[in-house]
Amino acid sequence: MNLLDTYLPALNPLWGPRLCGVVERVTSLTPTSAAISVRPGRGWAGHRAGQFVTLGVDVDGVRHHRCYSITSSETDLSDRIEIAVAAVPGGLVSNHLVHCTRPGDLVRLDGPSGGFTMAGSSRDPLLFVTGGSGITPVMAMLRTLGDGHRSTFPAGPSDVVLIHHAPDPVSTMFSDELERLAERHRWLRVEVVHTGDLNDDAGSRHLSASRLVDLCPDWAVRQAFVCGPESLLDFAVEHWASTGVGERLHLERFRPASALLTDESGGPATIRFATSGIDAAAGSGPTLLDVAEAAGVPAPSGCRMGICHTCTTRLDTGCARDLRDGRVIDAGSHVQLCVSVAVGDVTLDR
Amino acid sequence: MTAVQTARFAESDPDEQTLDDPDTFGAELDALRAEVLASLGAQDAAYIRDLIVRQRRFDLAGRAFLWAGLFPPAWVIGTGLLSVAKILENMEIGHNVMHAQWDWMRDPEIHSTTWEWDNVCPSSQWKHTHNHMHHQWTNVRGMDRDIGYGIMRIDPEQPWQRWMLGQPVYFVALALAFEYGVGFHDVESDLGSGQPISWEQVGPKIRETAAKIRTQVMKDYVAFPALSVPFGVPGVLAAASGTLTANVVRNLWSFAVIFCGHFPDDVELFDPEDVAGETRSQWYRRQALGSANFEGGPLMHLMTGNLDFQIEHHLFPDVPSNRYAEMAPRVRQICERHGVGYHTGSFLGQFGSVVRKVIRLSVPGRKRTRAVRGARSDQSARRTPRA
Repeated sequence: MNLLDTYLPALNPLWGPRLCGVVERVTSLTPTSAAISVRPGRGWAGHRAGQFVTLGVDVDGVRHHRCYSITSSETDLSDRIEIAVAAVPGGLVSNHLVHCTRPGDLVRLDGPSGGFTMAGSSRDPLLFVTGGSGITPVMAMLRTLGDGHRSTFPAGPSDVVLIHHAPDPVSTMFSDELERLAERHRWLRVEVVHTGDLNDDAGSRHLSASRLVDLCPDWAVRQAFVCGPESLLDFAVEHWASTGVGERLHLERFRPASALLTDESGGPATIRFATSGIDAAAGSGPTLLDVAEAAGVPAPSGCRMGICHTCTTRLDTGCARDLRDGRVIDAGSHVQLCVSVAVGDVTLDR
Repeated sequence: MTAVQTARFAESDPDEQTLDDPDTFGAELDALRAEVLASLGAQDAAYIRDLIVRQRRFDLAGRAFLWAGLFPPAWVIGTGLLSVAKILENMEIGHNVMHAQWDWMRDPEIHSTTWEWDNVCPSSQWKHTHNHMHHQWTNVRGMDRDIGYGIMRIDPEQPWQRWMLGQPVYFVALALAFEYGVGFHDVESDLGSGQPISWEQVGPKIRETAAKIRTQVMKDYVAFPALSVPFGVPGVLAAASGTLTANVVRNLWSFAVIFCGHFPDDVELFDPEDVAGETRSQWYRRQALGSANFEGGPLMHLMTGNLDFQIEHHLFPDVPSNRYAEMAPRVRQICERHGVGYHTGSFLGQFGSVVRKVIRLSVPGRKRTRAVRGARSDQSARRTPRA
């Protein structure tokens, strides 16, 4: 009921109509990464190992959304979830989470989502290949396997192999825990490759076909889960496919938000009006409102000078620029169509 | 800075966008706006979030006391708390959130597109009559329907008609039932626009307002008072009467604050020909001349939703209201430097002049409206000649 949504959050911020979580603990993993333990509010349905959560974080008062893999076991009984964040150089949200988040902070939660899970394959021999913060979803899988699935899991010294890549020991996330897990569980073998020590040329800093065979001779018969930088994923896709075992490969792609920013100097941009299903060329009007009107998109408007906010519309994808101050508006925010232009391709909720 | 001017001026006159405007009034105010927007941060976000939480707690506490409203002290405390809660919700929170002052936080729950306020006026209709018609066309005769709200003669230029004799009575009635006046204001604007009106146009709005009234009545006079059933019929009636009183207190206060904003004696009115092809600077000038501040401390700022800074609010309707206090001295300096009047006074002085005007204009005659005529001729003299 609406009244409850009005009053309950004033008594406890976790009782609101939208799912939130409160930060309980921040643990430093490396100088530039941290594990963050979050207690979700009502409505959190639990996750499968390997899934991610979309976190809504306020930085300088402004809400930003980012996806992070959940690192806690899916059978964790503590009603907490843990995520691990590596600070991306210049990254607004990741740096805030690693360096400025404190217990008691509120975060918005969406999810969990993602199909990078062991569903149906946890009894098969497994191979995990990870790089950098790509270890995070796999951490949840290893912890889940370690937690409860031992008894149902076929015994054997190398049923699970993890090949993890990190530049050096200091910047290896979860290095101690990986060591402990490998000591405790006879079915797990962990190979950490410090890419900073490799003398290979830059192109093969991650995995190569020969190193894969060295580290895991029976790689081709295992269900493989690969998560890490683009170069690692590209190698995996190509190598597994050319060996004819592409169906055993499972991938998770992480792309920093900055990579999604549209190139400003790009060619003629397309403006997609999602609700009305109309595409228009950006050049067909001086502002987004003019474009909408020229294309016959129903777009209520008022002052046409940016004061009444009648035309305020959600920007689903892409970026826009507010002509008044040159501010760039990211996807997920609202734009005032009458004073904004598209920067590259955009999708608008109209 | 040039880019900013270009974009804004383009709205009023596309041919002018490449010309340098010799009038820097608008550019200086734009720069002030940009400076404040760039400085918004976690403290501002915490201000509005904390205020919303406190307002809801006041609201709940007020209703909790009114639950036992059969006991007079509980009735008085409950009614007082609920009055404060409703004033805060409508003024410092609802009005300003719907102006998109907090959209920059990108919080979908504190956003102009989603906020539904504790008032019988549907937010969608409020945003149309208020944010668009009133704020864009402030004090322009025939375009800003807030001039006398269509039921009062506030403008001496408006021809007198016999029904206006009763306007001191309408004034009091509107004050008492202000939220209902606001609730049907959009419909009234359509009916009074002089255009042919179809049921297709006003019917949905009437139905929407009726639905909102139903929601408000259910909450204020049915759901919460029903909780007082253990105290019998007198307990239920006490809870309902306390809520009714809180709604009326909120009506009276918001009415007084809003009438002080544009109707004191020295505030200027404009004709549609004044605003044809208005530049950004001229728009700012009209906003400043058509609004009036009144003086007060931090509590006054909070309880008026910072509408004691009506001038700043009209210059910068989507700048967060907690920043108006720091902007006001600089706005005043800019106005003085450009010879633009800056009207301010005490709350009682401003409200008194509104009451006098309502009474005076209820009878025929326009001779004794010297202040307004004088201001108009000053204003035309100050207007920048257009190329």
